[in-house]
Amino acid sequence: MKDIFRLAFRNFFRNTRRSIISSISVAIAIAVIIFAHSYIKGMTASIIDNTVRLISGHIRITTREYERRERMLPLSEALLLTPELFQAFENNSIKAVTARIKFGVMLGEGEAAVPALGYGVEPKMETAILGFDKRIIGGSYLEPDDRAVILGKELAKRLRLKTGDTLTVITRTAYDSPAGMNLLVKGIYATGLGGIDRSLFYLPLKTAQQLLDLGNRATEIIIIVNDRNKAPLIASSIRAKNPELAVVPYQSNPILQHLSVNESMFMVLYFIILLVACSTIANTMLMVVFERQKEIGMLKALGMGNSWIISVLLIESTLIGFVGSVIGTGIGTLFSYWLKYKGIDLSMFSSTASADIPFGPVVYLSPTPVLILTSFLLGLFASVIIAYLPVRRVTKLDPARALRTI
Amino acid sequence: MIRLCFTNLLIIFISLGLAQVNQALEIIERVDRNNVVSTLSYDGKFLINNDGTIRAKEFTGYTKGKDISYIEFTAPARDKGTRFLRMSGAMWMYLPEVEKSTKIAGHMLRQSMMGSDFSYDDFIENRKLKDIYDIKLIGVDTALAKNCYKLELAAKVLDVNYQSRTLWVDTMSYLPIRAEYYAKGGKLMKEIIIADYQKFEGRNFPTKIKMINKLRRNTYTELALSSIKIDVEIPARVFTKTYLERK
Repeated sequence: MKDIFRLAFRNFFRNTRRSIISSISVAIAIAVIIFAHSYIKGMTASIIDNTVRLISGHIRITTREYERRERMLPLSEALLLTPELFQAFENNSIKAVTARIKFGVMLGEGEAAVPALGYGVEPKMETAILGFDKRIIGGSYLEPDDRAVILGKELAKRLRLKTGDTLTVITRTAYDSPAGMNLLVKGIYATGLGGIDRSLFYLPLKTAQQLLDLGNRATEIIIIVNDRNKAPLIASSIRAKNPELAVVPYQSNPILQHLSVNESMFMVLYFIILLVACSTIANTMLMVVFERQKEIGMLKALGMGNSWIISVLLIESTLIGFVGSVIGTGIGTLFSYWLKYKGIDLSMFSSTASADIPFGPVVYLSPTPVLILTSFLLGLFASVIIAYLPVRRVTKLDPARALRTI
Repeated sequence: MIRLCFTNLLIIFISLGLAQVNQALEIIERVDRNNVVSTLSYDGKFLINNDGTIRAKEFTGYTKGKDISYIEFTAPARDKGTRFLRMSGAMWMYLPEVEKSTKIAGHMLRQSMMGSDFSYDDFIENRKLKDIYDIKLIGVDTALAKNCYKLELAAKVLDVNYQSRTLWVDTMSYLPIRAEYYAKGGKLMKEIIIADYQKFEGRNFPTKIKMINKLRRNTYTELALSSIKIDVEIPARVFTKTYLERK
């Protein structure tokens, strides 16, 4: 056994350059897999985090009719905020509950008019959810009774407004009547998410209710739970108590569902990358078998069995795979962990993203020990399995004929 | 002989056709004479029925010619002071909360006026039907238990609110007591019923109109007009932006 390893080790260095090149191709594949998967995991985490904070919470509640016609933002289908309704949310697993009003509006006049989305929010509750109090870059955050707004940085720029100015909002009420209000621009926020900063503004819930003639109603209720994995279960329990409502956990968000499908697709892609990389090992081993036909014939003539010779060659390919996997895992791990803490700033790209897919602005990679170990083992096993295909030709070699080869 | 008979028959058919066209035109001219005014001042009340919930809105309005009108809402408190001015083909809205007027974009004129089933265009239209539609008399029919002429109107100009209309014109009052308005694709958009009218010098003017927007569910709006004054002098300053934006 010891001889097998010694021979395989020596063979590895017989054509060092070729072995190293094969190892490098495996290393690149493994590093790319670790980096790409960490990046996708990080990006998914970023989208989930932004979706939960800015769009749906862990659970979003609306009327069924509002959910059906949501693209039209039908204020007439708003929820009545009764104490009975809030009783359904008294649950130890629920961390925060807040109401929001979402409405569409054209800001500015004539050709300079800008389509925007207004959110009526409960300023105090939203500090723990939206966290916009920490994202104010000019002026100050909202108070519950303010007749004021906070504007996204880009939106303020497009409307040529600064803190202290007045924003005139003209929209339609829940009863389809025209309504307007002059609101103080109290603060400017910046999230770094292009779609949010460019088209969203926030005002206190009470002010929005007054503007839109909504009384004590809101278009949606947002719930944050202690354990986000339990959101579907909690949503089911709320739905059971309020069958007339649309209670949707964030996991049902079509974007997130699409991402999970994509993740499976990426797995296939990783496998293909690995196969391509390992094909260089297969090529190397094929060359080895051809090069060493005479030598293999000699060993066979001396009485060495096929399995012994195959073992030597497979261990040689395992060595190539091992070196490649170690280097690739090392580079991939270092790079991914570095970007886990430093992050990749995508603000340049996310400035063009829509508010519906809150992507970025900084994506922190998310490598895990399981991913690293799996990638390493994948590199190692793939090297052995793929190398077996050319190596098994050894069994067909006739020693007498092999010894005659030049 | 056969040729002579054929020619006579052709002349009879053409004459009958022309007579029908003339009769249709005559009916629509009488409809226009009733509806189209040179000037008008009135008080109005919308009763907007939305799924059984009724909201009332009161207003005062002035109209001059086919393209100038002014409307000011007086109740409820939330809408008090909301004003509209149509002039020079544009429409302006003044909201007291905002204290300035805003131009209503062209496509918005087809939207609901103050949450009612009337659009801004429906409400301010004062053009003669014969100028904008080709008229065809279909025959005599019954609507709201009254004998009516049934007319089909097809747009002959581009800037019409509805591509086609079917009118049931009361043979006594010459008012379209029932009407259906259709979009270009033939989709029924609105149904209108004139429930009551008032006699003025030489004309019958509708005072109670029910508008059903077929694109909305379970809603209709009743419009009641009172204090109607037709062909009276209206001060020119009423139809100005200064008057619209007065405090």
